[in-house]
Order: sequence, then structure tokens, then C-alpha cells
Amino acid sequence: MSFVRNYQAEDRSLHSGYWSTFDGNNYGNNNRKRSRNNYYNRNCNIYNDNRTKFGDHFNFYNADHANYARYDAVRSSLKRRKYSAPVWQESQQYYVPPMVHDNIPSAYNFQGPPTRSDGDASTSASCKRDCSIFEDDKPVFMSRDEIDRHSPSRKDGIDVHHETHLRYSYCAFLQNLGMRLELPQNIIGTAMVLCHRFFVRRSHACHDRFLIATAALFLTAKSEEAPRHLNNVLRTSSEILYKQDFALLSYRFPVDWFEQYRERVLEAEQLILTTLNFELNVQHPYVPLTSVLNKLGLSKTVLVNLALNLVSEGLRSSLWLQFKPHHIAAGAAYLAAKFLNMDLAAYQNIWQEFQTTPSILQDVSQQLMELF
Amino acid sequence: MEKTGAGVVVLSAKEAFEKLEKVGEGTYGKVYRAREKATGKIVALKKTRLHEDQDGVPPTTLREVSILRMLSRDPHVVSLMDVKQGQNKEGKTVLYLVFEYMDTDLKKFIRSFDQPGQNIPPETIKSLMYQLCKGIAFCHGHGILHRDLKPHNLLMDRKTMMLKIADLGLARAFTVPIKKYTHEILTLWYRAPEVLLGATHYSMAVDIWSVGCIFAELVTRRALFPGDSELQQLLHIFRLLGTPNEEVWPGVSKLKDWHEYPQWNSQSLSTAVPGLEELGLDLLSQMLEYEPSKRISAKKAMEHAYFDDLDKRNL
Repeated sequence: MSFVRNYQAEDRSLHSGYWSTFDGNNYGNNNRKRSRNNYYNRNCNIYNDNRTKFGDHFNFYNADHANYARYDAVRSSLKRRKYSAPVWQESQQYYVPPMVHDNIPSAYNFQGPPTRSDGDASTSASCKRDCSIFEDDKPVFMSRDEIDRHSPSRKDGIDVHHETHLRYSYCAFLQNLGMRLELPQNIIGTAMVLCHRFFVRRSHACHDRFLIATAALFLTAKSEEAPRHLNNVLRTSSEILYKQDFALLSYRFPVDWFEQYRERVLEAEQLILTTLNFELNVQHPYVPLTSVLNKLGLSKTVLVNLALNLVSEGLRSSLWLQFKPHHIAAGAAYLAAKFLNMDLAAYQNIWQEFQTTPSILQDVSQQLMELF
Repeated sequence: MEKTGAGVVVLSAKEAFEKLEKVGEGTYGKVYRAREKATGKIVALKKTRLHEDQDGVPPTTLREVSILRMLSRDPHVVSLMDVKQGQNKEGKTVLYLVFEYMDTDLKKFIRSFDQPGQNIPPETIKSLMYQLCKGIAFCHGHGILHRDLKPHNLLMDRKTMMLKIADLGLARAFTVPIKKYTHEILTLWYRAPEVLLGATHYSMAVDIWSVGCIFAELVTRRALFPGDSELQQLLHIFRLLGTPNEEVWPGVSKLKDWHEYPQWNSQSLSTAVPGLEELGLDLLSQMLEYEPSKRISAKKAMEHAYFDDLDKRNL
């Protein structure tokens, strides 16, 4: 896939031809009508004091979502200078998403296809296919340090502490939205992880996290066979964000606000897909956790419930970007046992069952502890 | 055309490919044979209309691409090479999935043996079946059910006799325990009895049933169970394999769409699939087991004695 953003001077058309590459920036014919107000092409700093075209009374995308975020705290930490979306510092270098950089930090490196086992080694000439763009881009897990240091938000003046709060805020929003839409927890969890993956590649300063979260949940529900009508998702999300009944919002905002919101969520959906390179598969720790504890005869215990709750809490952390599901499961079981003063070491081979090591256990449980 | 910061030029779908002909049509759009202008390589372009239902990217496209992201490395799964965006004449956004091009599919291949007495060579059947089992084993090993296996969705290269699984729009990742899945899937002829009887909890066994039906069709060049409605489909199955009961399939009478059906005794598979060797009939019978949990797995099928004399080095 061509992961390139076509950044041009703001007063020029986004289209350099009738067709465009699926690049996370150009979405359909409506682009021709949008110029400075295009969500993805406008000034990157969504926290700045400029009003949108809706005027002082309606700043839809910069709205004060007080119950989810502390915008003021974030705002003060941002660099005050203005810059256009693609430019890092004053380098005038085009911003290319991490997956196409040459000299990117290891956080964004991707491993190649797995080597064949001996039993599978022989391949006929006809098997040697042209390299697919998807062959080398399975994301490796990152260390917490890499996530913290190399987050694109860092370059926009958002520190680790603030980014953590931003992460918590969109997770709380997703939990609320998902429950109101009566979606199963695993779908809500998957949407959270997709948002984490997104913001490891794109800055919070350039993208409204609630818009991205709304699109991520809409997208996940579709891909997991529990689709919700877009209008329903939009209504519910605006009710949560504005703490008002949907019927009242129509009086508060301009006539076409809902259509514009709809268009932006659909744009955000495509941006998520390109940014994540269609990697929508998320493995959760619930299955390894219950199956291992079941094996050990601990299936109907307080330990399981507590460990499952810890896993659900862990969704707002970056653990899913750092560890495999069975490692998170092991850390949750370990921490739950600690809370309950249980000695899981008494169960022989328990950590081998989880295929984990003491250092991983320590790391996961430590990060889970930090959530409380 | 676009230029990246590094000076790399990225072409749009229209600039990069020359459409040669329409080769098919799916739920969400057309499939074209096309030539990549830069290399002259022939590819298949699967066009998807993005705002077809005003609900963004279609679920089938999401599933197909995200699943192919996981599976495209296997030689028996069609390779997704790229994804590009363009616009149609009405200015609507369209997505192009760029696949490796295969010159035929199993349906056309079977039809090409149209003369009476002109059968597909047994060694060819064996090779194709092994490749199919291998591809399905790979999918199942990665937690993916295909759910729409049929000859039309199995692409082939006539020269090399290579078979590849395609059209994963209905595929989905499964987790254990098996969740309630959509009942309305699969082309009727290849649909497993548990799906026809309304089971919403199903597993890899639905794909194995389809593989069994395809196996029989390769031998006879005719669909094994060509029903034209769900009821007719069930009756076709019951006539050959006998009407199931609690003894042969525990829990069958509790399935949502179970009714009292005419009672038939099971027939020998050799009457329906004449010409298939003994070991082949044994494998087929294990693929067409009524009880899903007793149905052979794709991995086990690959180890079946039927494939013992097959040269697997190039497969």
C-alpha cells in the first residue's frame, strides 16, 4: 500500500489527478470542496485558540469534552508556534508515516515473514511469489521505553504523562460508547487497542482522539460481525461528548453539522485503515488466562474474576503493544494472586503453562499496578 | 501521481495499472484482469465501492484484507499485493485490492473436462485435494474459518496446477469457545448440515464439509448435493448419508431448524462417487461425518493414507 501523504500548500487542491492513492489523506470527491477546514489538512494543533468556521458558539472538534480530558493541561504543554501538519520542527521535511521511513527507530521496525520450518522448506518455483506489501510488515512488539520515547506526540510537546491521560480519556469514552451501543467487551477492547496502535504512529496534536475512537469502534464492530449503523454510532458518540440528548444538539449546531460529522468519521475510518495497514486483528488475553487457570482447576475462583478484571483494566495501558496475550494473562494472574495472598508457585509449571519468564511477569504486573 | 518526502513517486491505481478485461463480479464490485504498467506483470484488481451502503468500508472488505494480512504468506492462499484507492465516474471513492493473477478457477477447470468419459486424472485430483487441505490447515492454524469454500473460490494456475484459496470476504477469525456466528453463509451446495439446521455455534468443521463436497465433485464432475433451497439441500444430504438421529449425531434434534424429516438409510459413498479409490472413499467419509466434532481436521486429512503416494515436494 502506498503510505504517503500528499502534503501541498494549503490553498492548493488536494487532488493531483482524478485518482489518488489510498493514503490516509485524500478521500473521495469531497476533498475538492475542502481546503483550509479539511480535518486532516488543517493546522495540526487541534488545541490552538482558533475557532472553526462554525463560530464561537460551536467549535465541534475542539469542544470541551470535560468528562474525558484535561485539555487545558495538555494545551499549556504544547509548543506555541504554529506549524502545518506534515512538518516536524522547522525542517520542511515531509512527514512520512513510520512504516515507510528508512531510518526509523526500532519501535517501528517490522519483522519479515517467518522462516519456513524444515518440513516446509521445499518450495517450487511457482510458489515464489512477488513480494506483497504485506509480507514484511507484521509489527513487532515494542518496549515501553520505545513507546514513550518515540511517540509522535512527543514532537508536538505532549509529554508521557499527558499522553497517558489522553489514552485513559479515549478508553473511558470507548467503554461508554461501546456499552451504550450494546457491543461485547472484546469488541470494545479491540477498538481500544486499535486506537493505541494508531497513536503510536500519529500524534495526538494532529488528530481528535474522540473522532478516531468513534471511527475505531465503528470499524471494529463491522470487522467483528457486530455492525452498528453509522448514524446510531454518531448519535450516541455526540450525546456522550456533549452530555446532551441528541434532539437538543440539532438546535445548538448548524444545519449540516451531522453530515459533516458523518463525513469526518468516514474519513477517520480510512485514515485508521491506512495508518494500521489494515492490521485489525487483536489477540486478547482472556482465552489463555481462562484456559490455563482452568487446567489448574482454578476456573471458578475469585482469582479468575479478579485476573479478568485486571485484564480489562489493562486495556487502557500500552501493554497490548508490548506483550503477547499470554504474557498479559500471566501478569494479570500473578497480580491477582498477590492481591489475594495466594501462592501460585504452588501450582507446578504454572508460568511454563503461560510461556512466560519472571522478568515479563514482573514488568506486566508492575504496569497493571500503575493503573490503580 | 504523488511524491513522497524521500522523492519516491507513488502512482495511483489508474496510473499504475491498465485494465484489460472484466473477469468477474462480487458482492461489492467487479474484478478485472490488469497489467502493471511499470513491470508488465498481470494482476487481478478487485474493485470495492466504499460508500455502497453509506456505512463506510464494507465489512467483507475489512475482513478480507485484514485476514489476508495474516494468511497471504502461504503458497496456497492468494497473495494480496497492494491496496489502492481511486474514484469512479460518479466521483465516488473506490478501493482496489491488487492480487496476483491466476488464469482459472476450479469451477472452470472441472467444466473443461466436458466430454463424456473425460475424467480429471486421479493424480491431479490427489494433488489438488492435498493443496486444498494444506491451505485450509494453514487458515485454521491461524484461527481463520473460510466459510465460503466452493470451486469458484479456488483459483488455479493451469500450467503449474497450483491451487490457491481466494475470496475471504466471508472468512472470520474464530476464538475458543466458538462464538455464535452468522447462519446465512456459504453457497448452498457446499453448506454443512449443522449450518443448514440453524446451528449458530460452529467451527472449522464447516470448511471440511465443503472440502468433502469439492472432493466428490472433482471425481464425478458434478456437484454432490445440488440443492436449490435449504430444505432440498438437506434432503439431498439425507438421501445419501441417511437421515441423522441422536444416535449418529447427538444434539441434532435440538438444533433450531430441526423438523421431522423423511427417514432414509445411508448409501455407500461409492455409489455416489464411482471411480474413487478405496482410500479416497475413506477420507471422503471422514470429511462428510455428520457430527462436526468427529469430522476429520484439515491437518489430519493431509496425513491420510490417500496422500501417501503423492509427491509432495513441489506442493
